[in-house]
Amino acid sequence: MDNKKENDTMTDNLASLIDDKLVSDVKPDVSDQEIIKDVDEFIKSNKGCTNIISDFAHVFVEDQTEENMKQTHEIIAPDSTSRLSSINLYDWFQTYVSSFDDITELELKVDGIKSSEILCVAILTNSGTLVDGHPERRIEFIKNVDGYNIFNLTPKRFLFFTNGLFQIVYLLGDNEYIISYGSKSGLINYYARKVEGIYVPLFKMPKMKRKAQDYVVYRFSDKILTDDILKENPNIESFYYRYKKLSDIEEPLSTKLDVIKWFDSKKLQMVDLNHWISIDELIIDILNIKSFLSLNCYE
Amino acid sequence: MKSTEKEIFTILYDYIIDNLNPEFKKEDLKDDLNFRTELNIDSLDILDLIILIEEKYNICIMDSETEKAITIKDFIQLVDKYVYGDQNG
Repeated sequence: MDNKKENDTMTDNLASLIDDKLVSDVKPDVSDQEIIKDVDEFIKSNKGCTNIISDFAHVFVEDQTEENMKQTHEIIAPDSTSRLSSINLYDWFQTYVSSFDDITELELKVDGIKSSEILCVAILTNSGTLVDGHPERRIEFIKNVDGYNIFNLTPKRFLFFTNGLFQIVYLLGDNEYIISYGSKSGLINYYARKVEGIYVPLFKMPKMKRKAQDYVVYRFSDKILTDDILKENPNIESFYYRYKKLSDIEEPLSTKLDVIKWFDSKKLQMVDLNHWISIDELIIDILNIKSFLSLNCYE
Repeated sequence: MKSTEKEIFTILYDYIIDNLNPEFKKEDLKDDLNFRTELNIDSLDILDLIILIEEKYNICIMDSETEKAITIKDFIQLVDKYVYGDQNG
C-alpha cells in the first residue's frame, strides 16, 4: 500500500470514529472523555501519520467546540409559582438594617428634606485603613426610596454602588435566591442558586418596576443546577469576544464551576454595577441551562 | 414622523442630556444610531428608558424583545408594535 492510500484509509477510519462518537446528541451515553480516549488511542496506534492526525486533531477540536456550543440540557419546567409581595425600600431597610454588619444608617435631620425619601448609609470599605482609629467607611445614598418597591423578602446581601445603584440578594426558598440590581426605575432580576458560597445566576427574570405591587416568580427543583453541569467544559474560548480578559487567564479553567469562581473573584475588584450585570449574563450563557425562562416564554 | 417616533426621540434625548452627556446635540440623534455602543447606554439605562416608555404608553414590553433592539429605529418599531399592534406601526 503506498503512502497516499495508507493515509486515505486512516483518514476514513478516523473520520468514521469521530462521526460515531461526536453525534452525542443521539448518543448521550458517550462522554467527551470517551471520545478523547478513543482518539488518543487511535493516534498512539497510528504513529507515523502525523499530518493526518494533526489535521484531524484540528477538526476534532473544532467539532468538539461546536458540540459544546450546541450543548443542551434537559429543558427544566418550573415546580411551582409564588406571588411575591412588594415593600418600599425604606421600610424594608428599616426591618433588616441590623442584619447588615457592614452598613450603618445615617439619620438625616435637615429642614426641607423628608428623611424617609433618602437612604443614607456609611459602609465599611474593608480597606484596612483606619480613620481616627476606626475602620474606614464610605458614604452612599439612594434617593426616593419611599416610593421604590422591592421584593418583600429576607436579604442575604445588600451592596451599594455609586450613583444610587445597588444589588440585593434575596433568599427565596431552600437554596433559591433572587439577585436584583437596582436602578432609578426598577430592578433587573436573576434567579440564582448558591454554590460554594457564590450566588450563581441561572436565568434572567422579568424586570420589576419600582411601582410594582406584586410579582410572580417561578420556582425550580434542585435538578436545575447539578454537579454534572458545574463539571462541564466551560468552552471559554467561545466567550472571549464577550469578555476579553478571559483570553488572558493563565490558570486552567476546566469546568464551569472554575469559571464561576474566577468571575466571582473578579467581581469583588469591580465597582461598576453594569460590569457585574455583564458577568452575570455571561455566566448564564456559559451554564447554558434551559428552562422556559431562558426560552423567553416567561413574560 | 409619527407622534410616537417624535415622543421617543424626546424621551431618549432628555434621558441622554440628564444622565449620559449634557452636551449631546439633538441633531445627532439619528434613527440608525446604535444606542448601546454609540451612546454608551448600559443595561440599567435601558431598564430606566423602557420603564419610562412603558409608563408613558401604558404598555409592558418583554425584556427579551428589548434585548434585540440595537438602533433607535429598532427601538421605535418595538414601541410601535406595542402601541399600534404591529411592527410597522
